[in-house]
Amino acid sequence: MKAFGPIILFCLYVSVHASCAHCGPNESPVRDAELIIAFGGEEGGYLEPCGCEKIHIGGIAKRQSLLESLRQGNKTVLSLSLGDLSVRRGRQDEIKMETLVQALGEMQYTVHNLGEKDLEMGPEAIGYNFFSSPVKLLSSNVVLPDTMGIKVYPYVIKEVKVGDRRIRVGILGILSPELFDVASQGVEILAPSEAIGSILKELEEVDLLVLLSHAGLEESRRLAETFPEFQLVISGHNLDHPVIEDVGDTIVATSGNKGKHIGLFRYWPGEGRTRLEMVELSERYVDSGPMLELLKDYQHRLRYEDLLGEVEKIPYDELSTYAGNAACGACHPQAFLHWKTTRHATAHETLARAEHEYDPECVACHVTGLYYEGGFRSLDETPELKGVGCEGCHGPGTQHVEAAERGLKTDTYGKIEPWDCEVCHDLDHSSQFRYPDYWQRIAHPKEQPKG
Amino acid sequence: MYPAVKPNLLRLFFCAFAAIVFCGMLGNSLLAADSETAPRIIFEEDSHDFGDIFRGERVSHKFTFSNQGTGDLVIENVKTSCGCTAAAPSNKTISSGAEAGIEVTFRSDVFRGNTRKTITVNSNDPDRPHYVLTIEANVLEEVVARPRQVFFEPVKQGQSVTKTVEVVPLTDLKLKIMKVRAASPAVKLRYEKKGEENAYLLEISTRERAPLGRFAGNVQVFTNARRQNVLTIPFFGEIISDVSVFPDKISYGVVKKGQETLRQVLITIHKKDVRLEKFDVEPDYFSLNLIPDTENYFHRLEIILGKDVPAGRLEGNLKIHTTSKDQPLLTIPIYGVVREG
Repeated sequence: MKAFGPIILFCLYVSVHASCAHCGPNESPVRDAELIIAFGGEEGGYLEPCGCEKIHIGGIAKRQSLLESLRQGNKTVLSLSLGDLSVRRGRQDEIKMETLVQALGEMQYTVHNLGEKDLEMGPEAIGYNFFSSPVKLLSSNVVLPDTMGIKVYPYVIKEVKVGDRRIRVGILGILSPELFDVASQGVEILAPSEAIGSILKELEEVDLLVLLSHAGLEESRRLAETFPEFQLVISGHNLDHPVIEDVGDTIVATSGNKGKHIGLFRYWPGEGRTRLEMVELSERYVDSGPMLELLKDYQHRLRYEDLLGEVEKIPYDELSTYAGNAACGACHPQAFLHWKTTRHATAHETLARAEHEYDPECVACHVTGLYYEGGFRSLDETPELKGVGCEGCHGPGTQHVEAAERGLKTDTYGKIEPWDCEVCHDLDHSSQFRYPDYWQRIAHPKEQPKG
Repeated sequence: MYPAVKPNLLRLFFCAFAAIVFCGMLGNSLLAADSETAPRIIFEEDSHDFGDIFRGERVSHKFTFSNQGTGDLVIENVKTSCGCTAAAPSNKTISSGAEAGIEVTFRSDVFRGNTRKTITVNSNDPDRPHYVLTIEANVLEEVVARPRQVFFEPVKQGQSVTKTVEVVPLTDLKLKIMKVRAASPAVKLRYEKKGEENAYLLEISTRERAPLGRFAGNVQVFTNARRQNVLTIPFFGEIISDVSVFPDKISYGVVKKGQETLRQVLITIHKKDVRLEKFDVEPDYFSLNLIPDTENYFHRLEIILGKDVPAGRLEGNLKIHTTSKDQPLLTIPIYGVVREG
């Protein structure tokens, strides 16, 4: 019998430590059949974290890994998208929307709720992308013009098998009328509470009721108070961090924008228990192969359609344009030589190594003056403007050069403030940026013009 | 029968178990000893409200904390949500009893109204490894555009449609517009003072010679507002003729060889008497299927990539012939890649 003592202790030890090793701080060791409602949205065109950023959070490639990992074992996963896949700025955003709808399909999303940014993309873009998509387009209060034959579901009831039970999940979705100028697009937006009220009256019995509320948190709270039938109200709109609140017996939650977090509403029907948690799509999730393929194709499309060549240029200033680094170096040789040793000088090569050199959104911060007349157009046309050159920080310099040549004082040219750097060194692309530290990497003394 | 385990092997097995159990218990006791010397991060306040601030302003606040544990506190990193920057203390190791601060700066340029942001301080405090601080502000605007964005219903090429935006200050600022600009070739801009009022009228007009297709962009209005000297007004719309198509380029992406793939083009007829005459598609491994609209307004054309496509780069064209005088032929490029299955 003495021999069994250590065995029992060993078993206890292993069971305690094994569960700790596999579970995160919020994860339950319960092995019962489980339904997980995974939610997120408001990508706003954010397909992947910027390669320049040290900490990679979010993106469709990590999201698919998370969803795939959730589907392991005795779990059923329903994925819901809150709305706002892209923002209407041009062809690049149309391609982003197409890529994201394809990604949602591959990730087996059940519904996509219409957001105001989706509507701004235009009914033709919505119709084109969702016509043959397995993802259902949802809105309980948006009525699109019927001329384009776009099917929008006012609600969706999804029946899923969880263990040996069949669970019916009712899903409704609204868009806050405050977020969209209804007068403009022939789109009708009903008052959310009226639309929800009339649907709930007719709705067949369900086990779980979920509302995708594309509205501010305050409005979502009010809807949760008005309709306590909902177990979960998924909110959002421009919140960049997750929020979880209880409003009566309803959970109101947002996973934040840009798809950096995914909310997981876990339901164990056997016990009638629920729990909500937010998962940051950090580097602990590997990038999934199929999504990387999709992202690669996205880059291929940008190149094929020559979006870099189609960037619309702002007239920078009637009087000044870009002179190029060599013109700066002629009078400021020390600063120019120093610049050549910095990563600003090789910024375009860095981008080319990452195979994003045809993506205008990336190129803008790796060359000089992409968005301005006289600025970078392509490596062939404007090789002198590749990399973040002198004028990338100090502004177009032809007027300064001409004044200097005429012996005039040009003290006002080129003065910059620390926050000017944040146009590129922002939170999504350079979260570690601290001006005093980063300045040291490019510090060059004020140099009196040669001669 | 069943092979028996030899008694000496059984003893060895139990000894191994005992050793593992001993190590586990030793580990636990070491952990217990660790918790007695654990650091403890305590902030004087978890949140700060900046109150009313103007858009464009930068405001800062220092969150002070102390290490009230017995071991060294190590600040691993500080994460912020958008619009904030937070400087971790210069000395990342804070000894027991010592104080330090985290300077948080909030940049309000892109926010409006009540705004709440979080800062997460990650440390080696075993009880609160992710300490969340909150800042709040009510971001007021100095100058606003009414409406905030401009949408043009489809505009017939050759016509110019004007939308007017009122630019008004919300403070006692005597508003002055210095200049306006937009990158899009589809629009032109004009502004003038609104009579005697402290406001301006900005006209955004489509150009008569604007290229066909969808357009979008921003008007930047430079004002004399000290804190919010650039006001951005998004605009979007479409210049049309008799027929418009979406998309104007078709991508099949990466297709596996032998896989039938469908894409579509949405064709909208804007002039009643215009008809779709015929379609050509090349190369010939594409086939077409038109889903016509009896009202001749909105047609859907399916372009099916057959299974017999060779691997390699996919390039072709869809040609739509119409009875339109201005648009007798619309050409839509098709591209993609076919990979060996």
